[in-house]
Parts: sequence; structure tokens; C-alpha cells
Amino acid sequence: MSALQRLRAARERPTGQKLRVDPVVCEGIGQCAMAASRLVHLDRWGYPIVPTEELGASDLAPAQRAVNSCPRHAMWLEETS
Amino acid sequence: MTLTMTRVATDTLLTGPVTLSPSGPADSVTESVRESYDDHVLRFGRRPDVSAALLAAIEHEGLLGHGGAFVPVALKWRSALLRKGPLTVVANAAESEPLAGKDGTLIRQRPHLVLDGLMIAAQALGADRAIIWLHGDDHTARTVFEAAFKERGWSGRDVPIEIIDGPVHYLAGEAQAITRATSGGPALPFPRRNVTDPWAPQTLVQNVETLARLALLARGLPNPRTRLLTVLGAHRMVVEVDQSTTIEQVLISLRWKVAPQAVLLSGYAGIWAKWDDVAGLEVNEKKLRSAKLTLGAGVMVPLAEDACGIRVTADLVAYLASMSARQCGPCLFGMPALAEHWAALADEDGDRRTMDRLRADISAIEGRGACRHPDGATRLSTSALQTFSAHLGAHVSGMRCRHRMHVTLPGTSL
Repeated sequence: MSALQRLRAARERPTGQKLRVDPVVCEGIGQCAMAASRLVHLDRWGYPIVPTEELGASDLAPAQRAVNSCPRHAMWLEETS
Repeated sequence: MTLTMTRVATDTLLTGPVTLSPSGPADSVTESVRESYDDHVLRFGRRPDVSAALLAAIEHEGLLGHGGAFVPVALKWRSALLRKGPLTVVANAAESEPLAGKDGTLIRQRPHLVLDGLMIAAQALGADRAIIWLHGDDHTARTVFEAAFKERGWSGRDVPIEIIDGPVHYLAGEAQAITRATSGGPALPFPRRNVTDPWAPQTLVQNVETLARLALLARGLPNPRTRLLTVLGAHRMVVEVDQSTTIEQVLISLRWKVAPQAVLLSGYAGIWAKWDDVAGLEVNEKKLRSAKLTLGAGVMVPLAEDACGIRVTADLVAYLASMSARQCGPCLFGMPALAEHWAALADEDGDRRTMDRLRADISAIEGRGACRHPDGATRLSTSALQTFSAHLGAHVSGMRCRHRMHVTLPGTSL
């Protein structure tokens, strides 16, 4: 996360949502990184690295796109508890 | 010297120290005293009847899990009591770490204390099922428990506890793998998901030492201020020492004469530390954790001065990579990558860029596995980079490794 992104995230109202991936179901197809390139990055083997912190309001739509794009249903949004 | 040598007392868990075969099940090669049911009842009386009110005592005592992660028992119990689904309580006796032998020793010496603990947990939480989970190759443990059942007069359909042999695998004792196996799936770890259905079946896994301590606590007896350790020197030994014993004192008591260069704490997926940094530290988990260290399930491997820590680390990481559940990307691809970097460093085929790539791969896989297995390899790697930094400098700059002694840790030759 860049300094600018961190600054923006800090200003943003918290959503109480986190982007999660089930690494067992994930097959490294990589659709999520295409659907939300700002949010999801791939490691050098093609598996997604998702932000560990709570999503900001402006991240919610791309996160939902990433969730919807996964052909294996390996991604989901989870309430932070 | 605080090495506990007393035969069965109420303030110790073991009946005495033992020497074990180099790796695998904790079968003692020295004499070991098994406490019979009569002795057990004579000393402690029968198992007390308990209810969920026992939780208050557990909380007050601050009882922690002794499988290695030191999760407060009260935390697990409270979440089990909140949910309404059928509950399975598991006594985890699967010591899948090749060196660890303290749980195996405990169940061989005091099976009745562990059985009491399991039944107390099951009764207090209103469990529907109680299971003893064994590592697949621990045949003695099954015999020990079956003999203990017989001593209690349990036979046939009366036996309230099932014994299940898990697989023979490094991950066989992982709590999530056990949970999955007891609910009919494969004994493989899976990522923790928030359970929303309060009626979903649930499994509570407790380590056997935790249950033995629970059996004492439920009787109003003090929680022993000791720690069970497995130490690999010339032999593999299991000892029980007071928590105020320093790491140096432990080695002295085991007749270790020359100071080692480093110690591997908590096992093959553990933490390397320089001898001078840890010799004076007590084996007290709380104090170790405040120094960002842990003894986990109580495993300690001193590394002799003339052994190459980089070679040993390369062997260990290769072993851990081979013990992957092969379920997720970080484990399936990340661990072999780490092993490859370490092999290059050990063979003096690597350079500074190998170390950079190793560091990059460590941070890429950390925290992303389906279970904590990859994190064990990254923790080991990170601590090895620090502990052997000077020697790594020699390995990557073309100077010959001056450590000629070849050390192969038990169970790691692939």
C-alpha cells in the first residue's frame, strides 16, 4: 500500500468488511487481480495477495467485483469482528 | 539445579525423565514408571463431577493450552459453550513433530490423569463424543490407553472414549486437521471461516498435557509450575523442569559440556537463536514471549559449535516443504522455493541475490497459507538469516564453509 493509499484509507469511513480468500479453493486463476487490480495483487506463482486490513468505502465496489469474478468462489467479503 | 527427579508427586506431571529413540513415537529406551489406576485413585481420589461452572476456575487459574500455541483454555471453552451444536472433545496426543516427545511420555506415564482430564472437559461442556487422537505410528499409545480402559473396568460398549489413529504426517496433530477428520473429512488443515450457524457441529481440541493439568485443577490442586521439555543432545530426552530453570541449566543437567553456538527453539518449524542470547533465559513461556521467542511444544535442539547452521536449516526447510498438505499455493509453491534458496546457500552456490530472493519469498508467503505451516518455514528462515548472518556472509562470498561436522536432524533425511 502506498503512502497516498494509506492516507486515503485513513480518511475513509470504515466499512466493517474484509476481503478474504480461501487458499485451498483458490487455484490461482487470477481473475480477481484483473477485476480489482488496485486491491488484489498476485504473487510470483499467480496466487492472490489481498489486503489484510479493513476495506475503505471506495474499495467496496472493486472488492465485490473480485469476489464475483472468481470462477472457484474462493473469495468472499467478511464482517470484521 | 531444579531438575525434578521425584517419583509421581502431585506437583509434577511426569513420573521421571526418560531417554527416547532419536525420533518418532516417544517410546522410552530407559525405564519409565507408569502410574496404575489404583495408584492414581489413591493419590487423587476419583474423578470429581464437574459442570460448566469449572470455567470460572480455569479462568482464575489462567490455564493455557500446552500444544505449543498457548491459547487460553477459557477462550476455547467459552466459544464452545456459546454454541448449541453437538460437541466433540478431542484429546490431542498426536505429536507430529519428529522430535517432540513430551506428550507421548506423559500419556505413557500417567494415562489416567489424561483420561480424567478428557472426561472432565467432556462433562463440563456437555460433549456428545470424546476422542483420543493419536499420531498414526504411535502404536504404544493405543496399547497404553486400552490397558488403562481395562484397569477402569471399561469394556465393549461401555467405553465412553474412542481412540482414533490419525495419519502418519507432520500435520496430523494440527487442530483444524483433527476437526475436519472428526467430522468425516480428510485429516488436512483448512482455513478458519466464521461459523454463523449456532447449531453446526463443533470440535474442541485440547492437548493431552493441558488435559492432565485440567484434571489437577478440577480437584482444586495447584497447576504444576513445571515445564516438559524434549531436548536433543547425544540422545533425545524428555525432562520436567521448574519454569524458573534457565536454558543453560537445562543443558548442564543433561551433561552438555561445551556451549553450543545456537539453539533451535520449539522444533523443526521453530526459531533459531544465538546461544549467548538465550542461555540465561528461563524456560517460562511468558518470559520467552516477551523476548519474542517461544519453546512451543517444549522442543529444544542445541547446535554444536562445529556444525553448519545453514546446512541444517536447508535440511529443515526441505523437510517442512515435503510435509505440505499440498492444498494451497503459498505452501505448494512457496515452501519449495524457500527450500531451493536454502539449498543453494548451503551448497555455496548462492550469492547476495539468493538471499534477496529468499527474503522476498518469505514476505510473499507469510500469513497466506491455509494453515500456519508455511508460517513455520518463514519463521525458521527469518531466524536463521539473523542467527547465522556472519556465517551466511562466508557462504555467499565464495569462502569455504569451515564447519566440517555434518549434522542430520532425525527424521529430516529425505
